[in-house]
Amino acid sequence: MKRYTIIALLLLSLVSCEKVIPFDTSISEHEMVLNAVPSAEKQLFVYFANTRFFLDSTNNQPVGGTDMVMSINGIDYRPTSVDRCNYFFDYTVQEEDSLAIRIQAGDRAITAHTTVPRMPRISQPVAYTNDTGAFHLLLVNFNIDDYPDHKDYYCITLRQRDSGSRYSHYFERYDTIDTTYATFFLCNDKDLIDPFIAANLSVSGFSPFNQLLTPDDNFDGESHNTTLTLIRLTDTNEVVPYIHQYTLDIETVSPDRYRYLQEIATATSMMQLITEPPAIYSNVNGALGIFAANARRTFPLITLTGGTLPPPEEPTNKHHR
Amino acid sequence: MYRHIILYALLLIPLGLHAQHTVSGTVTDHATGETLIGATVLDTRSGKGTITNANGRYTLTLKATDATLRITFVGYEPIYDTIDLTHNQTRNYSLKPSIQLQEVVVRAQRVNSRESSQMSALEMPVEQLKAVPVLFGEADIVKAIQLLPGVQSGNEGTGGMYVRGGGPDENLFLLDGIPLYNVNHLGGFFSAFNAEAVKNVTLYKGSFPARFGGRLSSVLDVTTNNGNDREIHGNASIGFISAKLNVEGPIIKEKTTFCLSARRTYADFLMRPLVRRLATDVDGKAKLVAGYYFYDLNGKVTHKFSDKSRLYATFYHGDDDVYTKVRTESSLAEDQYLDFANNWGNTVGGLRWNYVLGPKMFMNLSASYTQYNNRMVVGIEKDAILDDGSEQVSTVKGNYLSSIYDLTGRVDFSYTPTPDHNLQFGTYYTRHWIRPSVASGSIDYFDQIQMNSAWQIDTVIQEDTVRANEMVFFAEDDWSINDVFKINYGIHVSGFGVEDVFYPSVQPRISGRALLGDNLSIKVGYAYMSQYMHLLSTTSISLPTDLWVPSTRRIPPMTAHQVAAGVVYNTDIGVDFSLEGYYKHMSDIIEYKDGATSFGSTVGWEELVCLGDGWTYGAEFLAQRNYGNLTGWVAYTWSRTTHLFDRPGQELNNGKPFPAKYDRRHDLSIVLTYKFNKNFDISGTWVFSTGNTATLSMEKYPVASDDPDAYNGTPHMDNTLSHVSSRNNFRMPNYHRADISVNFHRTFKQSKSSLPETADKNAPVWRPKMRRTINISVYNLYNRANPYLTYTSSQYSYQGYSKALVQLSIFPILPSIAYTLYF
Repeated sequence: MKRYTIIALLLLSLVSCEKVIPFDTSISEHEMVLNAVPSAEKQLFVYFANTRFFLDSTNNQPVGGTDMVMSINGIDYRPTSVDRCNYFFDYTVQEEDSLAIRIQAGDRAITAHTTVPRMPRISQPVAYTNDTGAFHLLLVNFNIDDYPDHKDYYCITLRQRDSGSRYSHYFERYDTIDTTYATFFLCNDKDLIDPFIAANLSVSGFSPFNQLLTPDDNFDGESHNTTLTLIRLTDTNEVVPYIHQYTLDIETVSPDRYRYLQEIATATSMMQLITEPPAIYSNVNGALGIFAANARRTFPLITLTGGTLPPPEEPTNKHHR
Repeated sequence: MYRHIILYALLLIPLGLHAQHTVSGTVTDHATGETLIGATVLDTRSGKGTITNANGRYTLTLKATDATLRITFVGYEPIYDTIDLTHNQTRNYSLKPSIQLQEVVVRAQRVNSRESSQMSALEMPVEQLKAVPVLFGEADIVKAIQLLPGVQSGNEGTGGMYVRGGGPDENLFLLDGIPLYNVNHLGGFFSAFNAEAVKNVTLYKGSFPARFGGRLSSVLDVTTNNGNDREIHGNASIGFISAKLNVEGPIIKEKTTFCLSARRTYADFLMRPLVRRLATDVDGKAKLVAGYYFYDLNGKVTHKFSDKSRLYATFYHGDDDVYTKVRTESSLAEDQYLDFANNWGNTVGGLRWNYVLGPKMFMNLSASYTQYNNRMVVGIEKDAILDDGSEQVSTVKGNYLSSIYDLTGRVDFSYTPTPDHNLQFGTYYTRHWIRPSVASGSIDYFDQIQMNSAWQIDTVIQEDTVRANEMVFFAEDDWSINDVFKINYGIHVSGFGVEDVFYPSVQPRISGRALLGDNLSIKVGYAYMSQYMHLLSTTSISLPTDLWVPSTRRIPPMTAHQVAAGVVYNTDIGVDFSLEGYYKHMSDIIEYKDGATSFGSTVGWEELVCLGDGWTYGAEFLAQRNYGNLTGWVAYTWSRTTHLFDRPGQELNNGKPFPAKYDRRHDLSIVLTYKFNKNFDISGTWVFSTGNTATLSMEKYPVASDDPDAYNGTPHMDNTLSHVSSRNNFRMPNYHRADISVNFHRTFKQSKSSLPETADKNAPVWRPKMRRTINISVYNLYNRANPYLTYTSSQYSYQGYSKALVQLSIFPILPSIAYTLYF
């Protein structure tokens, strides 16, 4: 791969050149951004800041002179501590809480509201690997028991803990330049696939983020046994002694957060290199950002040490609440 | 139908019946038998005249009993012919190339441009267009056309055409009357028109004659060579990246001719050993196979049954292929290949029968076929060695296909009842089969551990062939009202049936001129246009992701009203000036929603687009000299183009107006060719344009998280979002560039021609037996770094920031050389 890179760079240096474009940096004006993901069973906090200029590599700056009030189930709370742009409230978020925020920043009024979804009812996931000779697979089996009387959306994320990334890449390492990898996030239950991601695929869906987003309509209040399959498509040139810990996050998300995650997935996909940059969905009046709750369960899965894990004898259907 | 008959009848009302006779015929090149388009036939006694049409035919009806006709075509010696006009008669003329000007063929435009009633039309001499220096020295008609006023190019070096604020899909490219959908090779760096096969090029930028329709912004009418009807001739050329061959001649002398042209790039051949050498394993196996090439083939056969009847068969096929295959090793000692292949191109074919119904009327009856395909394959192949030593191949493959098939039948008539009227009317029908995008995937997977388990998955999404019917009736009259006023008026009636809807459209067209003295004319024009096919494009360069889609129940046709006015002034020193102003309003234009692209999407394209409006206005100036040793033009355009997408649920830019992608305030082109002598000429161009617009995300903010620590680390692209204040909010640096081209000609041998006896039996014609041209050209003479792409880079700093906005320029100074042998 090094050689190819050198060839590409050599050709590029022969026929192309880079040059800084001078322009007036004062043409841009900061906006305010409010981000909050009130999460069930966690302390409530809100991020409120100014946007930063796109060439600026430092963190976003706080907004001065703000008055923030959070109404939780009709009771007003004010932040009890502030750490730079994070405003903490002395309150632990509960399922089905109704939250509304009001911020006065100078002459700008910012408002938003959300309702916390219920915790997902999930069986203990079981992970196993399968080296088929053609592909290396990681399979994760679990059961989602949907609430029949509740409209929730689900976001399922597989994380590789030691990669330093919030996204997982099965078996692969970022620092191995000879690695060419692609990870497909397959799901055996076509009803769970978000139409946005994979409308008519008969057996599998593809999520560029290794996040499976699925609306409540796919569940209809029923229980679904699901197996996620991650395929490693290519290998490294050398056998890497991998030690990776995987965790599975399954969260129920509010409709606003669902749409927000969808649009982020679109905005950060490879195709964005050739499209107009999209505006990301916001449910905040008077500012950018999102105010949308979730309820998350995290399951440690496996610690792979280079070997394979046998498949479970039978799927586990014990629910965790 | 009755309405159309009445319409035709109304058009005939102004035609009076007088005691008059008609002389008609064909004007051809004496040496080759090629018909000459735009030759002037003038009665020097009455001052009445006409020009030959696209078939080289003329019809002139005069009231006098005798006339002296002067037949001229610049670059050729004129013919004078005194005729007795007591009856209708056919007179065919063969013009001899002028000895003095035989190397540079130029055209008598200057009289036509002032006298023509047609507004916003430009007919450029092909030889002059071919002389324009361009990228890699590859003569390109489309890129030369981009240097005309009102025509803008896309990104640097590309062939995308943006005419008077219209998109690249709003141009109708006609090859011998047959539409081409994709005229780009290599991402638009080359056009599909092989300059060696082209005889005539006419560009209409607005006020289209009624015979044209289906696009909002322009018509580029390209006519190819019929072929020499006496001897086999041709040329072979080898250049920096491609080789060309053009052969023409008689199949049956003076009856049947052929013209064949072929072109292919060979960068893939040249690069293959290099790639193989640099990307080979120690065991000698290639790790990378990659290449790109395009080729095109033009063919035309013309058969002359009689002076009244000719048959033309046209064929074109062009293809682009890009391919890569990367081999990687796996820990299981298997061979694994990553494949990517993309292939796109057009195939067109057509038959046209040209029949002279009478001295005043002739007919064209034609049938044509157009096909456009774009295929892409991405795949992974794994060769596993099983325990028993046998080989098992597993594949994961994704395919993408977009295609259009058109079948058209057409009949049109040209009728010249009096010298003051030239009627053209006809009808055509097109059946479209459009598959905007078909994506399919397959997994053929063998499980080595569970030997009995194999997966075979095939899935197809969005297989939705759209069938549509397009019907058109048109009628137009070019009417010389008196010595001062002349108008071209007509109507284009079309209908488009798709799914269960039918879109009718009645499009009036009119343009006229008034002669003010010997040198000056003023012109005005109005046209209403409708377009049923759209190109969905995400970028400024032509990519395989571009998608041709039809109007549907949800997506109505695009329409445009355009008005224009201008003046034409011919000087006595051979320079023509024209100044035009225009305003165009476009409705139901479509654009992708922010962030959307059909490629890789699993929802229908109709869900990904917005409908909106646009308007554009501007002024165009052209100073042009088409004959003499110094030829060329200076073109300047001032324009403004704005789009508005504010319909509920289809807002772009928050429903506010925004500048279009190619909204440029200033465009200037200077093109000059100087012929020192018959062996040496030099051409140069200089272009300047205001920078393109671009959407720049000026502000950044973090992705929302339920973890407070996520906000405190170093901002990273993974956890940062961009805020776009408005679409196309940034103006790239201005573009300018100079190119130069030098031609060295040499004639090897001259011989007395053994031309067959013709109408003019005197004077033998001396002409070269064989000659060659060496072309040396330099693109981007002063190495200007023009922007091709912009991005932010942390390799640079700017005004105290640790990053900078950077432009990538891809074409530095590029010399090239080409050798052409004419035989």
